Amino acid sequence: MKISYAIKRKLLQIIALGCSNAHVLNFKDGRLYTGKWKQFCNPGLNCYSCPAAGFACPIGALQAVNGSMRFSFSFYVMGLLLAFGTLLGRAVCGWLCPFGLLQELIHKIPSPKLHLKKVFLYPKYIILVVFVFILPVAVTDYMGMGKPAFCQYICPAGTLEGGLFLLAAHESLRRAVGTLFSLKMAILILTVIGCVFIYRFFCRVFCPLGAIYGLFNRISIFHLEVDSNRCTGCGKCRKVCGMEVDPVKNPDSAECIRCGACADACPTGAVCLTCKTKASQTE
Amino acid sequence: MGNKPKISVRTACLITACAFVFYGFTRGEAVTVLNKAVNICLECIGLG
Amino acid sequence: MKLKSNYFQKYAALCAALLLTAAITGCAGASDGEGTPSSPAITDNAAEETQEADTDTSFPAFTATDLDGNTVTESIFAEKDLTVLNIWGTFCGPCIGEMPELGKWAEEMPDNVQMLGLIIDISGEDDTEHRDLAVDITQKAGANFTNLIANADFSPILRDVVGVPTTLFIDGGGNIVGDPIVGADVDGYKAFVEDYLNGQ
Repeated sequence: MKISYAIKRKLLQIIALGCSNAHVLNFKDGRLYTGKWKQFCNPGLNCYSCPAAGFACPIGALQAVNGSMRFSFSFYVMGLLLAFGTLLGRAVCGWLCPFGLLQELIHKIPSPKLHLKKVFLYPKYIILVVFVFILPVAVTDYMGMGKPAFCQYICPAGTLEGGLFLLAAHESLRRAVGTLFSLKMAILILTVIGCVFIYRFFCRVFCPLGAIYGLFNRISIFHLEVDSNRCTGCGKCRKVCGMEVDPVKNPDSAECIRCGACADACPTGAVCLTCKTKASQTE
Repeated sequence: MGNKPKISVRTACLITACAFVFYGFTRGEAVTVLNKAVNICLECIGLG
Repeated sequence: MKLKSNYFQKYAALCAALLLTAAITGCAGASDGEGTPSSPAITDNAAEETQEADTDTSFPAFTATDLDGNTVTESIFAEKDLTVLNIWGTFCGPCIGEMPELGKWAEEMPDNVQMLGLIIDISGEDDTEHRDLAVDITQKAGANFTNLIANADFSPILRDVVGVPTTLFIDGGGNIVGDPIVGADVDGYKAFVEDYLNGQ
């Protein structure tokens, strides 16, 4: 009895949410977890200013090290991303990222569902290069400290998981709200609205982490395989793909989050998610 | 990409990943991450 | 399909159990209150959120060292009508960013007002790394006002400090006046001081 990828994936996403945000009691006081585990990064996007967060955010960590007085480039975080990317590629987005789960849930709200023009897939690369790598290093103060530009000006995950919960718990923070927060709230609201109409709107258009992992899809160990002997060209896989990828034409697409919807939909079992290479499969 | 080159790229990436993590760790980057992660980053939550 | 829904229920139960376990183990870890070496004073997770500082709450008595090695106690508040206490850390970008402006303001302040800094991430006498960094920052910023190194005496105050920079205002009697200002807002600090002096 085969369990569909849809069910397996949803469960793992929920577990990943629980593991990355285990310290739920912290919501009451609005305090952060401060233990040593926070030097390690989640694979997915999860703000480390979230009271429940038990690990660091990889994009936040990248900016923290890039913007620090001592360093301009983080070998540690890049090494982790290299490892996650080579092992899983963008499957992290599909199976482990809490913010991805949130976007999928928002998308379930009934509405007309829209396509995303291909040109909108590019901003995330620009955001990655400019806000995560360049600005923290290039725009520094007299001590050589740079701002975490993506976290500060853009990231809706931080506004939601960190900002809203901390503001709820602390009156002193509420008094400090200014124009920057209005900007970030606008981005959060735009993200939420976008996700209602477009599947994983933030992932596809803005997420710098997804941009990084997508680059690994061509070599990731866990990947998509299409058996050309079994494929009838019916196109069901392409029609069901939320990320608007054609698995047959482009199984290593940088937009594919390995959600397995195509594999579930394939009538001949030609499409599958696997760690095995093609040669060993057709044996 | 054929299979053989793919496997060697993956191996190279994983080895590089280990080297990067080790080097970054030993030069104190993880402590920087920890310090940032355990103190409320007012910038991150939109309060500058 | 009936079979599928049975599996689904089992998996759902398993997952809920796992989520709960993660949450519980996570919380058990949190109550250890394991602080980081660099900010000993703000890491008490088990501390309850006390009420926000009301007006006329007196600043706790303390004995502390400043960056120059001098001993300072709460008697420093009596020297002026108003003390602006800027709480900051060497890890904090916005704190470092506002330091030059604070340094300049400290020199232009009216004679009955003084600027005082409180650094929260120097963990003790032996923490030369953070101490040297703090000295470097204040020198480069041109901030010549007294900067205290936080110790356990400041815990009652620091428990309520959510993030840095946080600025408190203390009158000559050692009472905290007004509300803490969170975030780098030198104009806000100046406005409060002006209003306070006008109201006297």
